[in-house]
Amino acid sequence: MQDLVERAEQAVELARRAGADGAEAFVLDAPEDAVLLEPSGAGDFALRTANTVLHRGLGLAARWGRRVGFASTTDLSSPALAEVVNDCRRAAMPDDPALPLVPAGEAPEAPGLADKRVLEMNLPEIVGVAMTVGAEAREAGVGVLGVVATATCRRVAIVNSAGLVRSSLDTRISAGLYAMSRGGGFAMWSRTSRSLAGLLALAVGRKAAALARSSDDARDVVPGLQTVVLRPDALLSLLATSLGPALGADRVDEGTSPFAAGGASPGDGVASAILDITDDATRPGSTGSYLFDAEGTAGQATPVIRAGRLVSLLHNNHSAASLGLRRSTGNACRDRSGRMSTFVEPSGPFGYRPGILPSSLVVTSPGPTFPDLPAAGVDRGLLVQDVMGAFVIDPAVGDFSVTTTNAWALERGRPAYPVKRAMLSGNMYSLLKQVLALAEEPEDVVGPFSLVSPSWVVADLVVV
Amino acid sequence: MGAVYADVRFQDRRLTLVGLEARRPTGAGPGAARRETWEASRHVERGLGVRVFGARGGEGFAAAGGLGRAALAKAVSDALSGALQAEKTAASAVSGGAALGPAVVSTGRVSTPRVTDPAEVDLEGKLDILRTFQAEAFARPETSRVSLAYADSTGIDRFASTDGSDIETDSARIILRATVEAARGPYVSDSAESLGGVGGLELLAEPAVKSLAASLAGAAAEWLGAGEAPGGEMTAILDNQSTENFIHEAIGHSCEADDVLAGASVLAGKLGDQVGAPGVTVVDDPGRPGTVGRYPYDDEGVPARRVTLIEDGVLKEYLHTRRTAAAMGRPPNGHARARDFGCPPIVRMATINLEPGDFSLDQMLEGVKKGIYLMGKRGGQVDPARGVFQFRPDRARLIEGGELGRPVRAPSLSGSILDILQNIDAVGCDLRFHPGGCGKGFPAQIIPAGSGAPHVRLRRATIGGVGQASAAEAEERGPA
Repeated sequence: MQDLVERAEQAVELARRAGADGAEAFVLDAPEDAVLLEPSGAGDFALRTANTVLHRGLGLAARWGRRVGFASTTDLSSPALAEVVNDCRRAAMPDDPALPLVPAGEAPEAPGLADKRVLEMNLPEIVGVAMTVGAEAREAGVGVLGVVATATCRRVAIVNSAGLVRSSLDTRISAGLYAMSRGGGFAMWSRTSRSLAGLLALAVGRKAAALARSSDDARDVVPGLQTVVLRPDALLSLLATSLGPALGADRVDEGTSPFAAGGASPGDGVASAILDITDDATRPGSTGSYLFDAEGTAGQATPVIRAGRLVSLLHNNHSAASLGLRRSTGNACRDRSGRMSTFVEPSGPFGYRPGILPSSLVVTSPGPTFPDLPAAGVDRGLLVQDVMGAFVIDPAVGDFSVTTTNAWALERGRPAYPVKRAMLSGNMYSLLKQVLALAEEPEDVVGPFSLVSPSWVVADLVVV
Repeated sequence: MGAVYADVRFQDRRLTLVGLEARRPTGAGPGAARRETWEASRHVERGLGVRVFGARGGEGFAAAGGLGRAALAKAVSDALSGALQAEKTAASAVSGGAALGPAVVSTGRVSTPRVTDPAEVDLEGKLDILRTFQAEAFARPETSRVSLAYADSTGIDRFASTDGSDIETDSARIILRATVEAARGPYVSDSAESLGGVGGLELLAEPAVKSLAASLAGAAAEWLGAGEAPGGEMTAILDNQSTENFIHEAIGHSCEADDVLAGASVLAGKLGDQVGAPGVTVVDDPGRPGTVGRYPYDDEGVPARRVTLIEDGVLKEYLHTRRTAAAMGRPPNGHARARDFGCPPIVRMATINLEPGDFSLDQMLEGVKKGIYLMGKRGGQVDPARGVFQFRPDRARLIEGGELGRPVRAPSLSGSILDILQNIDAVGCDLRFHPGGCGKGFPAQIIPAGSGAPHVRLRRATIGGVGQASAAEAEERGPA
């Protein structure tokens, strides 16, 4: 870890020598081991690819008077760091956003983000994880088109000229597969955990097999207004490009959030009164947790919606400083999510200025949460596992028109039969107000941020 | 273990990004003060990626930042180690040898043509292009926000292999992504599109930039207060960009041979089959001048070539890397692409297009009593294994009585690939190309990809609008 800290310190020092009034360096080293197995004729799996993909580089922001620049490099050699300082200065523009720096303070502590087993895993062991997952599915009686397993050890260092020095190490391991049952049912299912034991406990292969089998002999959907139950995978797909980014104070400031001036503001009802939502980066072992955010602010828990009322937005250091708040909520992220994409982009998170995203949205209810759908009063409707096409939702508007992947018609609150692809249409910010109940066990699912939520029972969604 | 094949990709590229955002208070006139923010950044993307193959087909890939000997030695060592581990893994024995097929030897130095090299223009010059767009867009009184993202990438890529290939490519790629928002009272509407390709700043010449700005500002204004689109099965006419999106998702991804080999494409095993309506011809051409997906050699050093995927409705070919081509007994066709030096190459599209037919838009509209006209593209997604795709246009209009009717909010179109290819009953004569992008792989590799298409007409398209299409409204199109 010391090597990354030294690189960050060197970049900040070089910026200072180049006359910068302030500087902040972010260094990432997160090699991702990925294996892909495909079925072989012998009833076994063949290794199709085994790669280590590089995610390594440094991003530098520096201020010269009122000019702030940003530059990044994948080359961490000393000459390249001098080059990045020069680039940063050349990119500095007048009246660019200011560069408030996170104060040094005490280093935060959060246990459970790195698993020794994952840190020590080699390629054959990752192949072994994929084989285990594939075998689980086959033993459950379905065909497997492909199995993927990835393991990442992520090292981060952040240093700034205000004296802040932060470093962290965390792990992620994931597995996913494409299962196909004899009756034509498909399922693409994946899960991610901080630890190997956590991943294996999720029984990814068996869950995928069950999902595929339960999708056999699908029928056409009955169109119309329906009660729709959205499972956590579908919810995250929808929230990742709507509520998640819309909670960012940067978007509110830009006017690209429904919570901007003229829309809802803290205290206003923005969701059903049965919804409490907290952004929580401190849950031990959770995939959405972190020691500190992408500017070095400690991860924390921030209530954002209470009984349907918006109680707080999410901040990075810049948005907090510009609004005169005492501190950020620790939601700085370096990610392409939510940005207007040109597809000609830096190769890693180190190439992005800090934006704002949730860490882990934890959904609970001030009232009861029901163990199953009949207990929640659901009779007829549609149960949706996941959707495709949600990534084009505009967070400022929230309109969606998505296609279900695995879905079932509900009768007396239980799946009666699987349906072929159905389309769901509506507006996410209206949907938030149409939630009737929370039901089933909460799950922790991962996307641009994490979501920990039971299923949502939503009234009157348009099904096509 | 002795490696039977190795290659290395060196990359030394510079990226420059410039963002410009300006807002005008709702109701303020064209001369009203705007709130403007901008930011710029520069990025060094420098490093190397090494692939090694063993005799049993075991593959190792490793990458390193920087171009020094130490970085190369470490990447070679890591890639060898990966290949060795893959060879030892019981699973890899099934893969067999001869993984890459016959040797490919390509040599030379290529420079993609450009008149004004973006590397020779400073940030102010690039900002001037964005300001030209902004001024034109704000000339419309309804325009409330203009968001612009400019990116250019310039530099050298070099490929060398143990087959004897040694290629150096000097290229430049430029993209301008623009979103224009209009506002009036409670109504807000926006429209977005991209401009650019492989080449120099001449791709963003003033007339083209002004034309795009006026077009987006006009569309955003016209769609203010647009009603909801109907939902259900109906006839749809897709403009150039909507068709591009549809072709990319529904056909392009299903023709990628890695998914085909895994049985994860509905077009697997269908070479020679009539998979689409007569008149449907789809090609992918990495040599198409000016497009954002243009390259002379792919990331395995294979000369890029135009591939006819579907000809008059018959499936003719898939897109290949050397490995997938060898596995299927076909020649490689230059469609191995990696996001950058840090990722291994996989099967990708370059610039896919639907070839033009004979129909004008008016001819397509004729006889459509009720339907929907989908325009522009916001993005799409496909599940090739299930054979299901969906995409969302930028905006839409109703079709009523054979004419374009009132604007409506953009609904998605969803469908079964095999069904909908048979439901194309008219292909337009107005082929156009646009820049775009594509994400694929584990981990996801996001790359620039071009696409082109004329208008098409689809029968029985499933439209995910909020309003319900009545049975009487659905599929009322008479004979064309």
